[in-house]
Amino acid sequence: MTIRPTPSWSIRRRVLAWLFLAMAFVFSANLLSSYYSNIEAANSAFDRLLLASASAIAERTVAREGGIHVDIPYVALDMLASTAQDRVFYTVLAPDGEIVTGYEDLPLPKTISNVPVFYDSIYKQVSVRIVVLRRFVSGNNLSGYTTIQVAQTRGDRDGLSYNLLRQSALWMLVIAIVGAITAWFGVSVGLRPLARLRDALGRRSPDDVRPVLHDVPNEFRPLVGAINSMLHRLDNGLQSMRNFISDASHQLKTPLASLLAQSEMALRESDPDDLREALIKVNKSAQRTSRLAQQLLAHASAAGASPAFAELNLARLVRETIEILLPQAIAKNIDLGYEGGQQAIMQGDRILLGEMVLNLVDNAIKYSPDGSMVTLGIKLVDGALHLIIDDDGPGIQQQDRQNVFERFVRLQSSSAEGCGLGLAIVNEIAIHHGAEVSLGDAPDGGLRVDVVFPANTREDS
Amino acid sequence: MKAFRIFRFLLLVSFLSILWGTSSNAILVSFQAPKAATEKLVIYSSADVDRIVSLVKAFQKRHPTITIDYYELDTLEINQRVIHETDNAMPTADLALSSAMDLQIKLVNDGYSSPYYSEETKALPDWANWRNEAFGFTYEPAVILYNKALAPDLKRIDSRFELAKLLNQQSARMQNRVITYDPEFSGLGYLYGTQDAVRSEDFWYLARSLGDSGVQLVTNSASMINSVADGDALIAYNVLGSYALARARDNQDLAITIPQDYCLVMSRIAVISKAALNPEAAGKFIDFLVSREGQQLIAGPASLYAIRTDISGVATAKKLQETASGPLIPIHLGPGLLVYLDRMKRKDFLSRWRRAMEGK
Repeated sequence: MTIRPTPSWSIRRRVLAWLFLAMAFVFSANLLSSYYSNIEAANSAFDRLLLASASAIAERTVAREGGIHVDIPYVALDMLASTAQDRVFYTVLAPDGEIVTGYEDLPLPKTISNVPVFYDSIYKQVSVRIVVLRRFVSGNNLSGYTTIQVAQTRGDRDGLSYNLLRQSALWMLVIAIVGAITAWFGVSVGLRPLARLRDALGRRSPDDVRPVLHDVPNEFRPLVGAINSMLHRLDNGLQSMRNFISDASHQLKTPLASLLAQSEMALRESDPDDLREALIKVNKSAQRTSRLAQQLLAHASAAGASPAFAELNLARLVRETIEILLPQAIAKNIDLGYEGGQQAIMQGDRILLGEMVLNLVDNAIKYSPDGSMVTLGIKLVDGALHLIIDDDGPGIQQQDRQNVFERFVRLQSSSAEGCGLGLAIVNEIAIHHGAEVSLGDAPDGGLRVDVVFPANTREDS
Repeated sequence: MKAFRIFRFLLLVSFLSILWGTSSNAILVSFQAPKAATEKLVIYSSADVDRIVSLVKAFQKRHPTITIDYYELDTLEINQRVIHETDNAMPTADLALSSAMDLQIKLVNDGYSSPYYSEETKALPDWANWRNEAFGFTYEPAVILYNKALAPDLKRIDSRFELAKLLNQQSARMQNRVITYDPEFSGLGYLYGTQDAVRSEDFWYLARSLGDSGVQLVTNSASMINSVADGDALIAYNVLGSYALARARDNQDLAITIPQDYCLVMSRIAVISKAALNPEAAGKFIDFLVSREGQQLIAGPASLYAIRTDISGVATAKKLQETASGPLIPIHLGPGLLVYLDRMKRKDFLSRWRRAMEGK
């Protein structure tokens, strides 16, 4: 019997199945051993009677004129009257082996000694238990050992051993039933804490992410721990989403207010040249606001969305981004270039990575002085893919390098316009890809941003 | 009954001496099935056919397609035939009904029978069913019968000791006028003798007294009853109570005494033979014998004494138990009955009996 629990099997069924498997094994071993010990017990109980019968016959066996004489006592056979009404056979043999009286051809054992021997045999097509004993007789010039055999069919013995077997089988059945009932209710009782936990979780409001503090059995601690840790992450996620929304609305308020003010001023202008100048300001404000909104959305999707990973060529992605930002670079007379191979295959989300590169290059252009250089590169070091952006800007002080990854942080020293989201977005996207962003010094004195994609993101999943 | 006797002798008497030599006095009576016969049941029985006619007819009323061949045989012959015919794969009886309980038990013990299980047989007392292979269906006392017309004083002979005393004290009067079974040539006589020898110290004393009185020895109860009825014998010892009762009803001269020291009770034993061709019909017949209807007939017309205690009537175990002044000793079925069939034991018993007959 094999047990193959399917996923739909309840705990109760599993427990019962294992219980019964174990019981079946133990019980069959027990039944087998008691079968043999019962036969032995039955034999020893009835063998004494058989021996008494043979002894009674032996006592009345004498050597007399004319040979061996046997006077079978009435009790010798009557005492073998049994509940199973077994059939009885007997034989007395003279010292020379000739039959004196009784049944012919009762099977003899291989060896006969002076102690009684019990054995099983077949006589008249039925299985019988036989005792054989010898008795020395002497008289009338005749001396020797007579052989007395008494046999009985096995009805009583088999009946007794069957009864003993049935009794122990009955007890085992009782144990099995009690065990099954105990297991049945034990599982319910054992799972009661889980039911309480289920009810408690079911009653919670959707935004209740407090950790579960119910007392549960040891076996459920890891599960509750996992639930709590998930609730914790969910709480953090919700919290940062809330923070982001309040930050974002705050950040959007200022440029929208200035856009409103500039457009109102423009409406008041009547001179076409002044009006044009005012409109240019409005347009610039609108562009900044638009860029900000775009970045906010990008950040939100980077933080919230689950990335769609696919194989992509990072080198191609970098070149495409450069093409997008080339007009801005030309406007500031910045030499925007790429150094590296044509192929850098990895696993990643094309849109998120594109946004990351866009932000990094955008930052570099923004913070670099006119006429300087921004250089992108892709390198393979020890299996890890490095995306490197070097600029000629002022760089970032050592003590500020951690802070710049926070949202809406802009350095005091910074002069360029920006909202402080760029590096936060970059960091968020890097985390999604298991990558690490580090800030360092470029060889020519500016900032070096190094995004390291570990080896495994490049392997085929 | 009279009409049936004629029928029996005219049509169906046959002496089966071919197999058994001239000593056989077997009688075959064939009871044709009332309807078209589809099966046949062969019975070897020690009971007089007259006594079981009513039983057979009633059985055939219930099972009208069974023809019954009824062989009336001595108890020893029933035993020898079943063994001989089974051993030699010859046709034999489906059912053996015999009053020699020890011989029937030996048939079962030696494997010449087949078991039969039914609800009806559960009505039997435990001692009357051995291995579901031997079923006792009557409860017949061994009684003393005397001729009260010729010897009314014998009414006081109510024990073995009293009988022995009578034979010793009135030896001239009783010489050759006492009769009993010959244990040497009658299976039932041997059973009675050996069962008496087991139970009573008075038995051998009685045997010597019988020998001194020149006891007449016969092989059946009918002869004993006839002898007492004719006045040839005054008293008979160990007469089958069932036969004596039937005759005493018609003959006012006959009187029955149930010995009050103890009264042996014999059961006729039904055994289905192992080589039976129609064991189903044999089983049906056993069921009928122990059924209320069968037992009522046994208590009535057959007067073989019903063994079931829920049957009332004159010839019933119940009536006997109510009226007997001494203990009733039913001979129980079991391996003890095999003891006296031991050839050495039999030789010893018969030689002692013969010595007793010589008055030694």
